[in-house]
Amino acid sequence: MSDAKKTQQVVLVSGEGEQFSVDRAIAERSILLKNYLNDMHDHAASDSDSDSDSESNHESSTETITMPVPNVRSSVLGKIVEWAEHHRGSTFPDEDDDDSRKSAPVDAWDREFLKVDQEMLYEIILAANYLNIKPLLDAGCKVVAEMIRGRSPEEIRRTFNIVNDFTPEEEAAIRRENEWAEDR
Amino acid sequence: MEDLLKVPEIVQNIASYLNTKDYLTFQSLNKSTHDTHLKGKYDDDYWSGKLLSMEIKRNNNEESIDPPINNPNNESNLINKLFDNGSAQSFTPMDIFDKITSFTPKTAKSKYAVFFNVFNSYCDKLINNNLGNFFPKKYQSDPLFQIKIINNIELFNNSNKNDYNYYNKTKQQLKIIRDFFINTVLKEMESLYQEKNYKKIHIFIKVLILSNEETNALEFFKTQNPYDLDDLKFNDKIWKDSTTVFKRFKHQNSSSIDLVKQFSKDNSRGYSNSINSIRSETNELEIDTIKDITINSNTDTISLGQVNDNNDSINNDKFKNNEPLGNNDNNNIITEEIKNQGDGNKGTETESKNKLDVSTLDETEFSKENKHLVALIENMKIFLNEKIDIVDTIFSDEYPILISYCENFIQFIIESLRSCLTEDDKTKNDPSTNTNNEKIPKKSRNKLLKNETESKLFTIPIIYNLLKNDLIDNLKESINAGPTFHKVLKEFIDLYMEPFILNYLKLVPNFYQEQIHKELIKFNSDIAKKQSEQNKEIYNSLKDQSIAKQNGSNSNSNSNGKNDFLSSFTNMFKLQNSSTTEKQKERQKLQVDYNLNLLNTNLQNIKSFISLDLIYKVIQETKDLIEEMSAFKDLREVTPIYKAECQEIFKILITELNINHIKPSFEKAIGLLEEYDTDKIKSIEFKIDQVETQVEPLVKFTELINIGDIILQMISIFYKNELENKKIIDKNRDFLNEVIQTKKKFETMIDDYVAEGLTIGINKLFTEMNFIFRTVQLPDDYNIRSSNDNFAINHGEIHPTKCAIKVIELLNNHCFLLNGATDKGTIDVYQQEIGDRFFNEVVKQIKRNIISTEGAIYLIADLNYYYEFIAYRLRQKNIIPLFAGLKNIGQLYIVSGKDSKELGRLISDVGKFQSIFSQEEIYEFVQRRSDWLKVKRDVEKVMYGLGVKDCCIM
Repeated sequence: MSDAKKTQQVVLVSGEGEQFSVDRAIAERSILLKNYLNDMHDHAASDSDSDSDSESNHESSTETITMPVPNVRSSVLGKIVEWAEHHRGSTFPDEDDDDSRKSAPVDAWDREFLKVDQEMLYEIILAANYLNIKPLLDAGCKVVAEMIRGRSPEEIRRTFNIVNDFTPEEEAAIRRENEWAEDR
Repeated sequence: MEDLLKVPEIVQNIASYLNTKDYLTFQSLNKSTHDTHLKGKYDDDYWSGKLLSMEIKRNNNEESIDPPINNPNNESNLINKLFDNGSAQSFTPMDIFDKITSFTPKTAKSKYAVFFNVFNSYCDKLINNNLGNFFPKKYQSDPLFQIKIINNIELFNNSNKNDYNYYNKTKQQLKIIRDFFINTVLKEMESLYQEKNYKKIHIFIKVLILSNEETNALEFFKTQNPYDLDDLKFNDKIWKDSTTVFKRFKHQNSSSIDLVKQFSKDNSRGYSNSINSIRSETNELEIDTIKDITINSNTDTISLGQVNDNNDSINNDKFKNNEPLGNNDNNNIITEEIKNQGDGNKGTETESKNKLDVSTLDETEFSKENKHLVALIENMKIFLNEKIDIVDTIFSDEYPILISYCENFIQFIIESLRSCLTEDDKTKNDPSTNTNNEKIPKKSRNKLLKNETESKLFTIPIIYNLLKNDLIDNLKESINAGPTFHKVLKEFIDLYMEPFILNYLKLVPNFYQEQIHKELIKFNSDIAKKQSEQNKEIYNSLKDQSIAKQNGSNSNSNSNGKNDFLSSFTNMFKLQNSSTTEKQKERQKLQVDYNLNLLNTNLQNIKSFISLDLIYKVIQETKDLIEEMSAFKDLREVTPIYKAECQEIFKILITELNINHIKPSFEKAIGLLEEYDTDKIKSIEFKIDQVETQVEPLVKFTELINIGDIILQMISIFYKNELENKKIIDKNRDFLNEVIQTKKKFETMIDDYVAEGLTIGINKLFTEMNFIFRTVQLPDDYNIRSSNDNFAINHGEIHPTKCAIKVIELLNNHCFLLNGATDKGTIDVYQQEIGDRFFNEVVKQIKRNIISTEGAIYLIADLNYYYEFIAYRLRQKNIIPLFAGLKNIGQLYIVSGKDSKELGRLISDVGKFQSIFSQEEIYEFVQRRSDWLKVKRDVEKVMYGLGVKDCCIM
């Protein structure tokens, strides 16, 4: 079954309805999809006697599974599939090991891969967060963090189009609060 | 981006990659980041994480002042207050980690702020490569502060891991600073070391230790204090003068004489020593006699020391100088006695002496003999003590370096010892280095070299002892090495010496066997030579004696000395057999004196076959060897081997002594005993008395038995002291051990020889007795015709016949030879055998003679005389009834022929003869009456109820 699983095809359907046919292993980079595939689909397969709809699964485990991902746009989903295909064989630091995750620098290919316009970057991060692809999320966040590093709040707001919703008083208070970290 | 900031997971993920300042900036982007996503628990965790990475402990119990969570003003107030009131300034980069050691989630931010305030400027300098004047002026002169700052920056930098690049670069820069700093310190130390400014170095050592540069500190010390110096190395010289077993074996001939000389030199000391040692073991009664003996032997020894310098040649010269033979004998005996006494001392004092022997030999003596070795050890001691002082000053107890240094030192010297032991061979094997080698055939040269290396190995115990006791024990105590310093060093010596020790132990038994074998064989060939020479001397001395006799001179003076010796000789063994009573001893002393009166005429000096001197020496050597080996007995790995090799040596000792000394000697002695022909000897012997009352070889053989017994006792004492007491052998567990078997076999063998010799000796004794009975007993001794002839009766003096006196004299001379020389069982068997056979001889003698009524009184006198001897001297209970019976036989003859009926009744009364004799035997006895034919009829009448004449048929 597990061998079959690897070669099993999963068709991801984007918000626009575009289909991306990938190996199940690629799809399972997303913890969200992985859990879904394991819990829902396999469960359905084992209960096929009582469930006439999934009769077809019974005949061949290599049959394609269709998987809608309505929250992700085609272009973003395409990028994510590209990323997953690239990292087909990669291993990533242990999820729970915060230290090694934090200390690892952004992978060079990822850095190139994430050289996209800001909107796309945000969408990739959001999609990675939604699909629960931790390595990609980390890479995205690191890139964003690098963009933030060494800048003033004003500069960052400008870069990221963030509206300053503090009152001047609040802002002064915050500045006072953070005074200790300023260069003296 | 707005969308992004709405998702808390993403915001927090981004935030986790931001360092302090950027995090604060990110937090203040807008209300959602500031008030929602990066607030509360997440914020606390962020700061807590930083503190935790700096190894500050989290304390979940809240501290007393706890600002409301959602009031930023309050929090900022707290931090600002911290800085405003100057309390933040009270933290320095050196001590902040000592002052702030824990936090709570709520105080995490403010506490981190303090650290940040202290260290951030350093980090920034590092990042900007702004390294000039890195340390503030006030710390510039203090390397200890500086290293603490460096260490603490490194610790603080751990909190910068959110920005990994920043963290990494800071770390690298810091390492550059640290390396530079350490190099400077080391250079500084070096120049300080030249100035011997150890106090100041101590500070720098502290710096190195704080910087975890202990190995550098150790390396520094080692480079500054090299130990691979030539005058600390073992070198060839030490073998030129060392006292080793090997050397002892080589010079063994002189050693025993040295002992004698020493004894006579240290007269007073030896005297008191022996007295003390004896006092401790024996009862008070015996001390006085011992005292006399000791004094005697001392005075005699002085002359001995002068005369007896080297065995054969001088002795032979002495013979030619017409010195009485006995004098030489005398000296030998005394030598032996001294040895034995010496042995006695050893026996009692071994325990205390043993330990001292090797390690604290006579200080001056030892160091004189091992000049180079002692000097070398002294060098090492001075060297190490100097280093100990330095280490204690510059390292104090902050970092243990001394033990490691000393271990290296020990490794080095042991290595030098190893190369010294092996390399030497190589250089000598190389023909180019020694042209002399050409002359020696290759084979023998190799053997020589092998022996040389082996002989060097025999210094191992001495070196080992010197290192452990002289060197280590004389080292100073060290703060740096702690209280177990000496113990640890000794363990190192054990560890590194172990291969040598094993090698040594492996070689010892073979080597020992070779030596002891040579020694014994040499003695045997010496004896053979000596005997052939002695045969010539016998002729001369006989002539001398006859001259001496003609001159009317008496050898009293000689015999006195000998008697003294012999009595003491006997007494000596009584010390060990201390069961005999004082009274007995006195008698025995007299007896021995008497017995040996005629010792001067001795020709067959059987005793000289076995040299107690030699055996004592060999045993002493063995003891020394085992003592040397005992240096290694506490080494855990070595102990079983040590025990096995000691046992092996003991076996070799016994086997070699047995095969090459005792066995041939006893066999020769027994051979001589058997060949001994009284008649032949008498024909050539110069005689003072007409009839010999001594069977010379038996006397000599009993002396051999004495010696055999001494040997057994020496072996026993040796076994007890050396093997049992030193726990080389466990008598309870190892009773099947080969050693014990060997010992038992040895004892049995000596016993067998003793028995065989005694049997032959007794045979010879009775040959002699027979001779007396046949030659001295005159036919009319008991057959006096008329009372007129009987002068004695007329004068009321009735004495035993001359023959009886001679016979008893003969017995008296031989029955007690064994007393004190061997165990009571053997003596009993010996005396009973003699008694039993004597009884038969007397019976035969009576039956051989015709006894008249007048002569009967002499027979009775003789029989009483015999009885007295048996009952009061010999005191063998089994034998006494026999002679009591014999006494009654005498009455058969004194009854007058006129009273023939009375005589018949006497014969019939079997109970009268205590069932010793049957009626037939008594009848035989009575036939020896001179008037038998006259009384026969009447007697038979009483016996059978009627006489032969009454028979009608006849």
